[in-house]
Amino acid sequence: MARFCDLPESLVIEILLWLPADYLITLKCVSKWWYGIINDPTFVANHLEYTKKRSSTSILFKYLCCHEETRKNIDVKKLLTVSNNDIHSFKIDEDVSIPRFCKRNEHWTGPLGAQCNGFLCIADNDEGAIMLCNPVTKQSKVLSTSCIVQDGFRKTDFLGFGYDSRANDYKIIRVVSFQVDEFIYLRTGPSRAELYSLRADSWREIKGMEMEMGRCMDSEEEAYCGGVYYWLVRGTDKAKIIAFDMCKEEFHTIQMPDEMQRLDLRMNLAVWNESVAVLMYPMWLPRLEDPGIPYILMWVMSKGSPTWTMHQTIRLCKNIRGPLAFWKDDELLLDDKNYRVVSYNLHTQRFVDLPLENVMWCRATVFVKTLVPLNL
Amino acid sequence: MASSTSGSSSSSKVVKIRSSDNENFEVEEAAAARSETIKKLLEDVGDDADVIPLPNVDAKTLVKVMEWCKKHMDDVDELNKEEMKTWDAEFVDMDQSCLYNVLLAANFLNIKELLDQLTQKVADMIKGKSPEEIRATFNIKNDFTPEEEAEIRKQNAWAFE
Repeated sequence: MARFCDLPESLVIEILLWLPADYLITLKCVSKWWYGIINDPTFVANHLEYTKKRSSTSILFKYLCCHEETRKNIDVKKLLTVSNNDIHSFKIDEDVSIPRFCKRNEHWTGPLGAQCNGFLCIADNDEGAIMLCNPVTKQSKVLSTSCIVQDGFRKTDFLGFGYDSRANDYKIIRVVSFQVDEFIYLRTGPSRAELYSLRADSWREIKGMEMEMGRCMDSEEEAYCGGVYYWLVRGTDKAKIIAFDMCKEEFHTIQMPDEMQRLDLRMNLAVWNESVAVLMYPMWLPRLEDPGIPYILMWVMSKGSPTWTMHQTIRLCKNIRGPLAFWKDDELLLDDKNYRVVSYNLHTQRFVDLPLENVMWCRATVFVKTLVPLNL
Repeated sequence: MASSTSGSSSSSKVVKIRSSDNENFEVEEAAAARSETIKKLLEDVGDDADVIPLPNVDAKTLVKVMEWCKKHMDDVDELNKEEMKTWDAEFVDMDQSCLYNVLLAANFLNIKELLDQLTQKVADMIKGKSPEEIRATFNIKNDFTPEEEAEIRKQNAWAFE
């Protein structure tokens, strides 16, 4: 008669690795043995790798929801977890609670926050303050302000967050520029870049950044993939991508071919199958009688080399406002004109409704629930 | 357990294995080789092997494990994937005692895929249960003082809430 307590620790670990991080947190008080396993750094690291590979996928939504009775708009953050075996089985965590840290109220169209390995990096762009938090372990940290001291009104041009696998460190890269005052849009000098290391808990300046950068403020125009943060820049010049490598701590520019230089189309950055993708689609007009966007052009950048391939044209028969994010390789989340979010399968071309309602405005990102602690 | 003749694998060679309670089994080599442990033993002894003793696995458990190995002997094509999934789900649906025996055997015999299926099955049994229910189901003793337990529960909230 074998019993659970006859199992060696290695097997108990294998069993616990299947469970989601937010549930494991509640299992710490089962016994001292389990507490030790769940807190072990090796277990935490293995759990992160396993979660990425198997079990289920979570998507973090930040959206503006129209309250049915009061007709007032409320800001909602929800975490939707979907079983990998069955796209129809959703579990919704009502309102992911993330502590407010901004002095002013968070603007509703403010960025969702960059996410990496279960950490969210949320910035208050007015004040320049940044918070890192893990909504699963409920740890949070407001970062020291900056290392760059310069006269003039300071503004953030780019903000990126990622993981340096070589140093096992989480890093935030921020590019700032300075204006003479808040109301005259006039730069006093070139942009400067600074990098925050979670391990060192401090900022330092990254020198030698001499390219013309531009500005990127919408989370739809950003992506993080394979240790590199990407920002799409569209100015008066040609559209291009600025990339920052978290290990090498270097910026580089990625050019895009003439076919992708379409001023009549909107462009979103996305991550598809561990590659960077650009989604191009016609501008949607917010008039109810207009149909949704008819198509999305999907361009994919080759891994390793900055060459682009037109992957496919996604033809849409539904009233779609725009794309949100890829998940589960071939599912594309779309913002629908009926104030819902739908998932579209690139192969079967089938739509699945997600259980979110009255969505006036939305941002979404694939999120990994992890036990990774903020004190590395 | 008689060796099957329907196997489509290239070798229908049969190997003999012996359980801890001294029962002998004849199994197709391709099935037995799903176990890394048996595969390694076969490589070490070569064709001279008479019977491979498995001192950690009793006959009842070995029958179960070999049933799985035979089913998973050949590569599964796309068409049979669904059918295999159903079969696997039924296979792991056994009583707790039997489940742990097969789990221990799969661990000793080093059969990665079976180990994954079984650990996931136990994880599914845990899922949704409260710490109290888990302690009751799996006979785990709570060795925390009430104060310590309260302190751990307190850690699961935002520090400044």
